[in-house]
Amino acid sequence: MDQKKFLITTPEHDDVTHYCSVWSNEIINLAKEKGLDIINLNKEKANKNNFETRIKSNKPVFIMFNGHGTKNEIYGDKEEILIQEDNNEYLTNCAIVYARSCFSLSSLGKKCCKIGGAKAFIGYFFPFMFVSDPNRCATPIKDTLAEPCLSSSNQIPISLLKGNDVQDSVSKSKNQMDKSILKWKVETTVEAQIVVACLMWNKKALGFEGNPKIIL
Amino acid sequence: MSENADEIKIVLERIRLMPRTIQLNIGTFGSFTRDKLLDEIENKTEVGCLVTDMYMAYLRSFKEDVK
Repeated sequence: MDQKKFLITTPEHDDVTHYCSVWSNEIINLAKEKGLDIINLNKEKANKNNFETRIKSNKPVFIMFNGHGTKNEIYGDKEEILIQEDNNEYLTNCAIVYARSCFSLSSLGKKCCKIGGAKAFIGYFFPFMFVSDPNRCATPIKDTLAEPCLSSSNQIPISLLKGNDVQDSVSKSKNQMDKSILKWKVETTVEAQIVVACLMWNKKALGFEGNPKIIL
Repeated sequence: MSENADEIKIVLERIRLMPRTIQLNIGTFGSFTRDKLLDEIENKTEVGCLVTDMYMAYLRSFKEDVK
């Protein structure tokens, strides 16, 4: 039987994408452990040509985007459009999609499921936010301020890779956010307040379209 | 998005207390230090309004906790 394919984009052209890329390593490592074939479009490899070619030739069952976006499109390296509503949403056909991208669920996610044929699309209605310590930009994984938001958003692909369905994976992520909110809410520093505000915001922004019971 | 003058005042006061050593990353809009955030909020830009909404939702959550 063919190995299941997992395509992930990890551009790194600014602080936000760099952090998301580094924090994606735990997802990639788990996917390897679970026996998936990983296609990582890292840095400049996260371009439209690569994206389209690799999807068409590999037909991944799981696609994860790290990158900026609008309600109609998601970008790769240096804001090159990878996927765009009313253009190439068909590339998500038969896949579960997770987009750690702003506004992706507002419109594009719906089109990917209804027109593109994606089994499910998990994303954010509003911008994804997190706090960071610029002194940690060389080692984002050690940034304790960024951890609550990035770790809880990682919970979605981790849960999917462990065999949970889309609805449960989103719930697990939101439960982790709730635990972090309780933990950080007792802190009195302003940075803790902003971390909690980001967690609450991301929890409200996170959602999905498509089949809630689908698994990888 | 919020353009309520009282809410903006509250959030500005809060953000002024934010250390200069941290930044708020707002997806597509980029990364913002304290001073950049204050400018965005004062000028009621899209980012400024988003941050005001985010912070007010956080403050309102305490009212919910009490209930």
